Amino acid sequence: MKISKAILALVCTIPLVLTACSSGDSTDTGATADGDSTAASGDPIIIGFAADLSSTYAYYDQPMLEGAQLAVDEINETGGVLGRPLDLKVVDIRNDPAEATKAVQEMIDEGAVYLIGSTGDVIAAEGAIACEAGVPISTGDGTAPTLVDDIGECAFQVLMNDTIQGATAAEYALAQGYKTAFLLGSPEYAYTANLPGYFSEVFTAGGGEIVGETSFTIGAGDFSAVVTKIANADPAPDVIFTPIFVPDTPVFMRQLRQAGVTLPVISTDGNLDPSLADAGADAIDGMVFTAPVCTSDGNEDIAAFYETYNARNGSDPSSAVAALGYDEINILAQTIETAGASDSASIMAGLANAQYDGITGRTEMNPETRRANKPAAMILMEGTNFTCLPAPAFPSLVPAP
Amino acid sequence: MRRYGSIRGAGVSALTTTALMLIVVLPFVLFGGKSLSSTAVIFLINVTLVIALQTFVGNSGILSFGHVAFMGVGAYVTAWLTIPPELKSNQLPELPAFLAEARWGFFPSLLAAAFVSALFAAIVGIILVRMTVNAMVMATLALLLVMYSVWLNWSTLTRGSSGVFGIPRETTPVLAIAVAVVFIFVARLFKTTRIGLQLRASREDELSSAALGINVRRVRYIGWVFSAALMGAAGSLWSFNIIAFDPGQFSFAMTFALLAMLILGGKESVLGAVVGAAVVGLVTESFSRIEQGVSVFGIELPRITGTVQFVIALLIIIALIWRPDGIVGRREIEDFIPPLAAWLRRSQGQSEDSASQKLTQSPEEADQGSSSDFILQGTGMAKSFHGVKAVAGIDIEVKRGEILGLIGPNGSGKSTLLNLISGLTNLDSGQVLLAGRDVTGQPSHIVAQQGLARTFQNIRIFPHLLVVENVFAPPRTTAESGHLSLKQLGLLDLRFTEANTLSYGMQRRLEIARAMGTQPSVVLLDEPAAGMNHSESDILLSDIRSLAVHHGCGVIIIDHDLRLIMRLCDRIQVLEAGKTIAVGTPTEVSSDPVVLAAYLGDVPIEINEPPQGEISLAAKEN
Amino acid sequence: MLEFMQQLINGFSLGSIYAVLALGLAMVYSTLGILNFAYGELITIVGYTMYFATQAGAPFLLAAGLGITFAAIASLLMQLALFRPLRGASFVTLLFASFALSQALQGVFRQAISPRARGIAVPEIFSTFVTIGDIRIGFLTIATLIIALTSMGILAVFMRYSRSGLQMRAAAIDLTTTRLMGVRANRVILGAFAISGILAGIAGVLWMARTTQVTPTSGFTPILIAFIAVVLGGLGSIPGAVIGGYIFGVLEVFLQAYLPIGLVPFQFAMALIAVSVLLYLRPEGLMGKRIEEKV
Repeated sequence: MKISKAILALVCTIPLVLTACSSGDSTDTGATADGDSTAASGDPIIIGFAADLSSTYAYYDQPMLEGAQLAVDEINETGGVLGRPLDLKVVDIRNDPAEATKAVQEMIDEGAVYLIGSTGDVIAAEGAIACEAGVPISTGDGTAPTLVDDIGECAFQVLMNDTIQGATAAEYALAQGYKTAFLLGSPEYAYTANLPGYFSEVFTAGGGEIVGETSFTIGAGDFSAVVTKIANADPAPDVIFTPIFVPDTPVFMRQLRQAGVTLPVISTDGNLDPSLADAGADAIDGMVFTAPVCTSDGNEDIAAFYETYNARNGSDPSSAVAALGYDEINILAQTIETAGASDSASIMAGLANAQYDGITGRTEMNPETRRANKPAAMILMEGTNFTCLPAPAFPSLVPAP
Repeated sequence: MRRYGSIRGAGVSALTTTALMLIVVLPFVLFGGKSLSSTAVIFLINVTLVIALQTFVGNSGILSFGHVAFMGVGAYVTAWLTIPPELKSNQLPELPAFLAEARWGFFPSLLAAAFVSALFAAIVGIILVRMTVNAMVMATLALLLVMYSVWLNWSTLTRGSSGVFGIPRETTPVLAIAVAVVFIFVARLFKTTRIGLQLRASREDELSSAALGINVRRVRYIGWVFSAALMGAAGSLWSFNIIAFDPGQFSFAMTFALLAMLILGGKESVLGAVVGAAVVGLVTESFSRIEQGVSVFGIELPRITGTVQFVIALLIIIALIWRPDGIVGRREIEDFIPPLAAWLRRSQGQSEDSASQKLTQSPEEADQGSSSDFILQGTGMAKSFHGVKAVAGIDIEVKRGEILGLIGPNGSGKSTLLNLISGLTNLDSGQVLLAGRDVTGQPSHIVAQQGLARTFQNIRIFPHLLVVENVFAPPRTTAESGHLSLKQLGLLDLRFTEANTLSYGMQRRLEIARAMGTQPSVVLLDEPAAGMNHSESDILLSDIRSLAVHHGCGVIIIDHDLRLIMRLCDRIQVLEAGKTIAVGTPTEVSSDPVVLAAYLGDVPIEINEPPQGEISLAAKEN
Repeated sequence: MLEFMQQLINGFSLGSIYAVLALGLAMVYSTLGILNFAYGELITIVGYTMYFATQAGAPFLLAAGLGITFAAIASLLMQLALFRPLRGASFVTLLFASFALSQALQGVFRQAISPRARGIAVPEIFSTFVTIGDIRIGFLTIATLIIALTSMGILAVFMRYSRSGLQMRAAAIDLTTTRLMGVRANRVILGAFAISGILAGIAGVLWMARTTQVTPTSGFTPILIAFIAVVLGGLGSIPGAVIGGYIFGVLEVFLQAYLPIGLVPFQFAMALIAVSVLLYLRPEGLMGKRIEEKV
């Protein structure tokens, strides 16, 4: 029942707190990132990533880190940014806001000029500190469009957001000729709560009809009640839309198919993870979902990225999300180069108007919203293989967050 | 609130604890950078949270998984009151108007958080304190889950999983220290108040504290609400530091973290709460630094994750096995500084001595002459267990100053009869009058408050409280009567020792002293001399005799030792198979043919029942 | 009506997993007065055993058998390594110790295996369904119901007719007296932990067949519900635990299925409040006995 993933996640992460153990040399640089015009050339440009590497959001923060680290290493090997190396500081904050607050404060004290936010809800706590200090923070792999407004002026979302993927999913459904849809959301997270709404706004505007709606419990382990409800929906829908994400998706899909429901399922980017294949081919074959990037279409840049990563680490990154981390660092590097300065204020000003062609596609920042206008990709499961559908255009109607 | 001991003592103890805490914290605040002082602030906030938890868990002995719910109440109240209106209208557009426009300061919000949290606890507590201890623990778990679900889904007030943000950060080190110090004082003083003492007594032995007049539900309720108020305030302080939070914070992880600090440090001590917060913080901080990758002797260790949880959990297990009572145990700071403890005891002893000098004679003694009626009258008392009539219609009476012996073979219903009189067991039928008042069917603490006191067949003192605390826990005990009672039973010099370190005979005496301190009109003594040798029991008997005379109370005494009963008692009542077979003076009874028949071949062989199953009882009854 | 029947079967099927779990918890509680929070980790152990076994090419049934065996062994180890050293500690101490053990084990799984979910391959037959009249029910749903009922039936027969079963029932009533009667308490206690581990193993296999994946925290949801079921049924009552499990399973499915969509999120809260109200009215639970303390 409602023993949500948040609980599950938090049980594992014991957020303990507090003190002692000075890092010794942590000089008090004051609250504001006072830039580094005075810093000697060759001093590193510090980037902070207070990431969840051991709890729920490790699914997303871990590959973000892998990609970002690769980008940092590459940049440093080719002369750095403005001739200075990048230094990526990482702390595992275990999805605990107290840890996040502490870690971010420490990073800022150590002179971080840019922060990558955790995908989890602790981004709010991280963002509060960052904005107070005037240091820009990205939403990491967080796609909820409300994040940027919530956190404030210092927050940026450099990847596609939920309004875009909801709309893309709806346009895809309409293009497939689906007339009626069944929505399955969950109020537990902004992500699972709002995406059905974005989908339905575009779907109904395009002539589709929502014929049923129910909510599931994240981390429930048993979806039999929900599945039976869908199986008995009257009239039967043409398609199911749900922002369910791993590790729930395989469980849900298997139980759905077990109940004899063969309806197509459209989902969202929370499924961009190899563990989706755990459901087995018969359960997930034919499932379609939106994602910030599709890495299996033979795109040369992506292939090169994987090759380099493999050469350096001996294995593939945890998931395709790594490509986003890679791009984010490169966007930052380009912004610093363009501005010719690496202080937080210049980065913020530069990021708001950044345009960048990366391995995951073109990122155009909207200076008004500080969110990226970036089209979503569509992925189709063929058996347990992630295959790319033709890249969708930027949706003609994007709902308001 | 009446007190048993010295408020000054508790204050000095709190002051010393505070000093210890400041020694830990000040270097960080004064010489550390911003991040070090924010580490210190987090430590101080943890101290407040753990102390709030300690106030209930430590004193009542009931594990609460639900306190984090009160922390949530405090945090959300703070959010509603302090987030700037322009942000609030954006995040929580449907907030009631008076909240939507609120813009409170730090201390008013802290107090409001404490108040709302206490109010909420007062409502929940009505249901909770009715439960058995184990069910209550489970119910606190349910409370945690229910409130988590409420935070998550009542988005009008909480914005659901998206959380709220924009609480002004007001937690300067000075402010955090100030709040933590107040918490230390309040918690330390609470422990010393009569309510706190009674709560601890109920932790030690729920049944005997009720039999001595402590309203266990009431003291638990007060402790629960008080602790929730502190938790609300601590949650408010926490939210002033964290600025932005969502329901996920008020969940298992936080619960486990706080309980870990409390249990590692020592849950029954305020000092333990401080030490626990420090130790867990230290371990966490060290391991999260190791996780970031350190170099040891020039070797770069790889970045690892997730060790903190494992290490803390392991520490807890080791601590529970090695030091089940935590690092500092049950001790407060003065117990670590002998001169301080000695000084506190001396000053407490002086104040008690001067108090007892005011006493010239027992108040009971004064009106003894006026009442020649029976002080206790039980008529037609009956009780069956699973169809077996343990007590089948017994009448029993005792006068002031009279000692009534109750004898009979094992299973004849003696102890059951005492339980029926004292309200520990409900009567099937019959009536009990105590000093003319009908106490039939009253719970045992009410009966005790009417002037009945008792001891138990197997000693039921409060093992981990001091001798003096044992005696002063019951509500009827006054400074004078308690002191006198200690003196009369020869425990005055031992009053600052822990009760379970007394010899067996002394523990028996303590139980009697605890009963006599309540200035009872009737005392029930269930085998007070059991396990004593002849000389010990002779001394005890003469003491009982003089106590009965001095206090002018009626005494009912059970013993298997006929020699003793015959010498001591004014009258003897003989039971067999739940019925009275004879009653009269020792001479009458000893010549009664029915009694002789009943006792033939069954004379005073001491057959103590096997000891209570320690495992099953300790576990099931807690 | 059709949907109602299907949901009812869903509820009983889910409830039977909870019942088996709660039964295992109650076995240990009635003997030793321990509520073992780390019991949930036995399910996780079943999951990882099955994962590694199926990865190594073992057929599903063998993997399931191994899972149950490992759960039973782990259950015995918990008694030997944690509860025995803590002998004589209070209910609360034991509860918290087991809570800490559960956290430590999760840490081990996370470190030694992965924080990510691991998929368990299940036979194709699990994806089929049977049709009875108009009602379509998953094979697994029916299989779960049957396996759970059979296991509990076997246990009932064992407890009633075998010598060890008699000793365990006696120990549940009064361990000390049973010991005085010459029964070796340690053997009875280990027996209770073994049976409890086997039950966790069976429930674990059924749960894993349903979720087809295991994470370090897989055991958490089921254990919470089993806890509630045990309390609902009455602490110390074995039939109560089973009934509590079924009630909660049916309650969960029905609240999920029939609450208005706006209230669905409150389903767990509602179920818990219902249980709390019941505990208020009957502090000893549905089937529990009021324990009269001997004075």
